[in-house]
Amino acid sequence: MKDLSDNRVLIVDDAKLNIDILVQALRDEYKLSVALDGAAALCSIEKSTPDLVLLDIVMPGLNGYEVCRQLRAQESTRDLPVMFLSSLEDVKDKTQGFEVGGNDYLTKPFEVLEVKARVRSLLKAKAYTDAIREAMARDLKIAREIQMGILPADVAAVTRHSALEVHAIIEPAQKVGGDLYEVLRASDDRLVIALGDVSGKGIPAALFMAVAVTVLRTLARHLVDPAEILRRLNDELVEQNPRGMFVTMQCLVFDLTARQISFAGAGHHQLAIVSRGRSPRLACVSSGRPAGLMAFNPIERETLPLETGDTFVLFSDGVSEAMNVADDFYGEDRLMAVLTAEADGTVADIVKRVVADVHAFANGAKQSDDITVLAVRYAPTTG
Amino acid sequence: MKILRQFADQQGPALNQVADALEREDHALAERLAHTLNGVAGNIGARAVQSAAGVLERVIRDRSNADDVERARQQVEAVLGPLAAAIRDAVAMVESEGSAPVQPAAPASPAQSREAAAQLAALLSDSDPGAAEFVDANRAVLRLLFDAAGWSAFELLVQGYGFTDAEAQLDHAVEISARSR
Repeated sequence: MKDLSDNRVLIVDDAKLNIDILVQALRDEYKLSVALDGAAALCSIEKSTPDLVLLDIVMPGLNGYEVCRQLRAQESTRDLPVMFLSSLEDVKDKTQGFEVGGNDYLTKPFEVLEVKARVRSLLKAKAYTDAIREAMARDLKIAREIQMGILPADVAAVTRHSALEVHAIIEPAQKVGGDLYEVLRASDDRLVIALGDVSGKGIPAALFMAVAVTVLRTLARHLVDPAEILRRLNDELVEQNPRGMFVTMQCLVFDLTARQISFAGAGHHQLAIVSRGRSPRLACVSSGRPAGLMAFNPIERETLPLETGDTFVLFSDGVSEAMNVADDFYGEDRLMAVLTAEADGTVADIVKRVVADVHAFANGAKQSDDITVLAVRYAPTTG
Repeated sequence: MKILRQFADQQGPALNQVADALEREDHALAERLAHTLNGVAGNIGARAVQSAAGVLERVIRDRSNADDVERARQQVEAVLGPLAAAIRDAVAMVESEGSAPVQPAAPASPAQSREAAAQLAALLSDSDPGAAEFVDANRAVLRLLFDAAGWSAFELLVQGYGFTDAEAQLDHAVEISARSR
């Protein structure tokens, strides 16, 4: 935890004398910055965020209330402690100070000892909050590493000499997310590929995702029917699911000897198929409900012959439902346009291009959902 | 002592400024000046001034008639004037008793000036109130960067916490000094 003497206090007052008194009182205990008006204070905070602001209210230009409002409106200063120091003594003035986001309010004239005690108290509270935040960030970082470790580490190694080329990207919206994918070689000629999206986000979704991947992996080693894999996954998840979470999923099983692909969906939206000489198309409407919701899940299988060059693109709703600042959805038409333009690219090109296009569309709007894209191509000549 | 002197210097003229603002019908400025006087007087324990300034602030805010406002202003003057004068006399006496003969400073080199300017620039950039003391302590080397008028203006800015402008003036002075070498 940061030593209190390493904290910096910004003193904002249009009366230099008030600043001088506070500087005298606090200079031996903290680092100090000063500003003579609201605009200078915001400028100083933008340059370097202090640990506490002592803020006068009646000042030329921006008053203290407005400064505090602006600080609360910005992510980087939303939690910056602010103590108002003002000659305004009315209850309504004090109330307004707290309403605009002030953490404390002291009237002038003040007793230096009281100012020092309150400053120390606010800085200690901030130090505890910062320490908790840092610990949570550290834990989330570790959780993310563990979660990413659950996903296939080396897809190329799994698919080597299999006639399949696979590439995937996963970008959690938070430190940890609920999207998942799996690429598993069940035998020399049978590969199982799945992409899923767990309900919710954060730690609960990450834990449920870990369970879902583990169960899926076990089932996929033994079962040849993707519908059966998803039905059994549903049954396993329903069995112990106290919080009623669920996962939507597309599951693909490639039979390379028979040159065919079977797919099944559990509440997940369609995947895209790009074939030589044809426009990209959506396929595999999910016949089942999301896995984990209820015991009986009527999931059906579809089977198609594999043609050389067939590329299957699976994605989570972080792609199709990505939003821009105008709250428009990215949608499947844009995805189809990217797949048309990138049809001759490698699977890595396709995946990277789709993710880049989603980001370009969002144009800085906050990512609200995990973004996962996986492309797999049947390319027997390279196998 | 420094704070008392600053109170006398900064708040002594406050009532004339209030009168000027009222004459221009700038009631917001007049109210703010009275409010500031109210606050700082309280903080140095000048309760009579604080109380009278509080009344003045209120009558200005309430848009009371001009006679009432002037009466309130004169009541502040009646307590502020003697207090400011007494503070000035006391400070002058203490300073004359305690003043030591000034030792001539050793001649400063351009390199010392540049180094001091770099340290000061960092303090100004952080809006660190220690900048004023740094200027006091390094006057001999820093003033080489300025002409006489420029130095006075710069010193006033730093002492008055006008750090953004002071930073720009220091940058300019360092640039001019480097060019003239």
